[in-house]
Amino acid sequence: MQFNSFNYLIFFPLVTLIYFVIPHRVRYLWLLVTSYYFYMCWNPRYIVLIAGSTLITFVSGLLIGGENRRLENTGARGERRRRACLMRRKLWVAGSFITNLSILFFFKYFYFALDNLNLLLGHFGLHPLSPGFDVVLPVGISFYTFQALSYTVDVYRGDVEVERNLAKYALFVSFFPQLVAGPIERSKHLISQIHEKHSFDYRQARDGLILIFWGLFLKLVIADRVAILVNQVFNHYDWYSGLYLTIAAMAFAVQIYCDFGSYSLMAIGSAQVMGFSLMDNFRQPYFSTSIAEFWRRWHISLSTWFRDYLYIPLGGNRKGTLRKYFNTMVVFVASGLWHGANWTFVMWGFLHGIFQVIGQITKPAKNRLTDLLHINRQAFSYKLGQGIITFILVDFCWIFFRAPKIEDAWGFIGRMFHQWNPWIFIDGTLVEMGLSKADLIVALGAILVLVLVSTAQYRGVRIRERLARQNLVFRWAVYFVLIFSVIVFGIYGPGYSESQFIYFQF
Amino acid sequence: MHRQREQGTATPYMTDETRAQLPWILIRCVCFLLCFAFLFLGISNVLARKSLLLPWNMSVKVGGFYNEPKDSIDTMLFGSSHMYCSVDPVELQQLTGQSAYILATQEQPIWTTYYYILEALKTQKPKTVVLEVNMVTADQDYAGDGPNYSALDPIPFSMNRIKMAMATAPWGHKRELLFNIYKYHGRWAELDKDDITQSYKKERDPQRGFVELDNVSPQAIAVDPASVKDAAPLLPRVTDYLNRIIDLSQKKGFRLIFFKSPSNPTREEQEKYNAAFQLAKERGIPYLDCNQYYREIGIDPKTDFFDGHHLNISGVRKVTPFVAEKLQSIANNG
Repeated sequence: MQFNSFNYLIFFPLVTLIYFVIPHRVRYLWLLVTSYYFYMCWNPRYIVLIAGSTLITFVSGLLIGGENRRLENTGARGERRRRACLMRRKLWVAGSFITNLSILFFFKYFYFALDNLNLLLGHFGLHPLSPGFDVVLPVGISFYTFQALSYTVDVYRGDVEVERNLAKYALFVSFFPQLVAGPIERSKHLISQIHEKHSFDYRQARDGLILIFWGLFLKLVIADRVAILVNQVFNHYDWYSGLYLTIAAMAFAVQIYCDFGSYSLMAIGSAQVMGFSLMDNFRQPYFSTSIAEFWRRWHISLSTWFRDYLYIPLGGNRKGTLRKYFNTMVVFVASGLWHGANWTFVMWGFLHGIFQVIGQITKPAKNRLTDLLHINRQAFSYKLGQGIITFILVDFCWIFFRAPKIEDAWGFIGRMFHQWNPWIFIDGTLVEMGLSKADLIVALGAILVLVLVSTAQYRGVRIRERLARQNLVFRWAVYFVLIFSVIVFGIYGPGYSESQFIYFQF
Repeated sequence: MHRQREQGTATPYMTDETRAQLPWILIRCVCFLLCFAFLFLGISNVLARKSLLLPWNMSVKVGGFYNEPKDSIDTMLFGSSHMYCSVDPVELQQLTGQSAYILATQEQPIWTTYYYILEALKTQKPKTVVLEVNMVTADQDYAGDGPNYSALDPIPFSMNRIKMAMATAPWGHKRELLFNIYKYHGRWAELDKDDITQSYKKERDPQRGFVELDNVSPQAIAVDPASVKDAAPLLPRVTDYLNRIIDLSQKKGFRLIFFKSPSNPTREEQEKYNAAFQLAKERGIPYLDCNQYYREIGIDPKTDFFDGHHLNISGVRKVTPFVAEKLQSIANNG
């Protein structure tokens, strides 16, 4: 079930209520059962896959832990034994990675690989292959696979204790708030919380609920509303030119942030109500002043995963500058591919990598130039400029992310520069992009609220804390405005058409 | 986050701070939820579609029904559009001395009508209830959004409305019909004065539920209803609710009459009406099928129809006295 569904509105309070009423000892079992139920609401059969990944990584953890213990107990003369232990450890890690990534590859990249293979075969005049079966992408597989694999590596590195309770480990992999769309948690952070006993705290519950509704606001009022405009223009980009396309590209930047960010917020809020703390996944990413900083603020759980489990094992920045650039490109192309099985995502990742490499290469020259021109790099105006340039680069990349094919992305960009038409802001034709004037106003108003909230957060203001210090009438007014904004302005429901009723006017 | 306590003491189910303030927290939560419910219903009423377009202003005809003086109506008439376009309650009162009111909406399913009768009984104690049976021709267990929302929208929130919505809406759509903000919240962009002031809620309908249709559409008689002798089986759900309405009439002690307005039915439709009248006969309920009395009523298909099945005002002027006479003779015969 989705977070923004009526079913979740019933599921979540029920699960939480029972969670706080049953004895501490069995709470993790209750969460495990409800998490598996939550997953099965999407597709019951794929529970086998998540259970499989859970079992494989759990067992690999036990095996690696066993080797770690043997290593510790091996005396000075056990050199051969040491080597055998080390090799076996690597074997278990490799086994865990190969099996899990194979499952992920098959379910996520099968058709992508097949299509490209057929393209190649076609080049050589050979007959294309057809699978003869359907592969459906299990929901959340990219997320829980990475989360489970991080445990394997953490045990290998000795960063986390081996988990011997299969049910508790299974809950770590399947914890329903973050199962479907992250944040991708680290075993050290989440497994320890599963072992803890949580007492119901009213303030945590209240703050968690506020976060959930704020997430609903971002998703239903902003993301789903601008999606109408984005879909209209991206799906028919040959009907538009110039600034229409620029607006749509910017709208997509808003859409994907609000859509993705909202899921993380609702996950963090749901977990907070139950006394769990999940990591931040987004920190005002569009205020970044460089692409590198963008990736410290966007989908933080994924970028840190790639940093810790791919970039650093590859050598990071410890093997020379050229190797650093190479590692960066590998990580970002992999990250692109993680987002989806399409060359557009690879291109998107590639561009992010290239921009960062170029940024690093040109940094000394840029610093010399700005010093020469007496430009103050600490001034707000400079940071604002950097921020705008960064947003433009990020948004340029988003065009590839959104477009169905790379040719479409280039087509879109081409038409964007085809015409310079600033009059569209005045002549009323903005309503030809799929949203009525009223909807455009609501979207802009809601985005303004988001910008204000983000600015406050960027400056370190803890909004929910500040709100808690205000008096009851003000607090309730804020709650009601938030809740009813979602109910009234949210994009949901069957919609209403007078024509349904006109027909019955006799 | 509240961490585990030292060994030896059990971890409490709630933090000390929360326990200390628990009564105050509970009171606040209850008050908050009450405020929310109040605001929710208020905002739903503002956003809901209003039916104010004359002559089909159901927001007044049904919504304003509650403004009628309590226990002042002697004859209540229920059913579908066939009911509200064929008999004039004001003329009925002039002819019989019995006050009358039509509480019907377009294509209203029989199961919804059952709850409409219960709704009317909250404020009225009619001696006679007329049930127009056009909707026994239903062939699906649930009607579409048009009839369902038209029927439910003017009914204020109550236990009966909840039951009505549960019975009327198909599976998976019940809460949308009950809380129609789900369907209508998008109307925020087209709200007008009537939506906000809702002044129509204080009105009483001068036509007393009747919809006057003026257009003339000459019709050809499809089939002679008198020649249709067979009875086609009714949907089980229809039969169930017809029986429930009959049971209700016995329990509450009002006279129930099955009624069919002149509607130029097809053979299939007349067969379904026949089945309903057969049920009425089996259970001792009087019935009046105007389709058998075109000559007595004086129905002229060239001048009396608004469209294929509904009468216009010319037809109403002929049908109303006929119905008045028949109602009185049924009343006299006990």
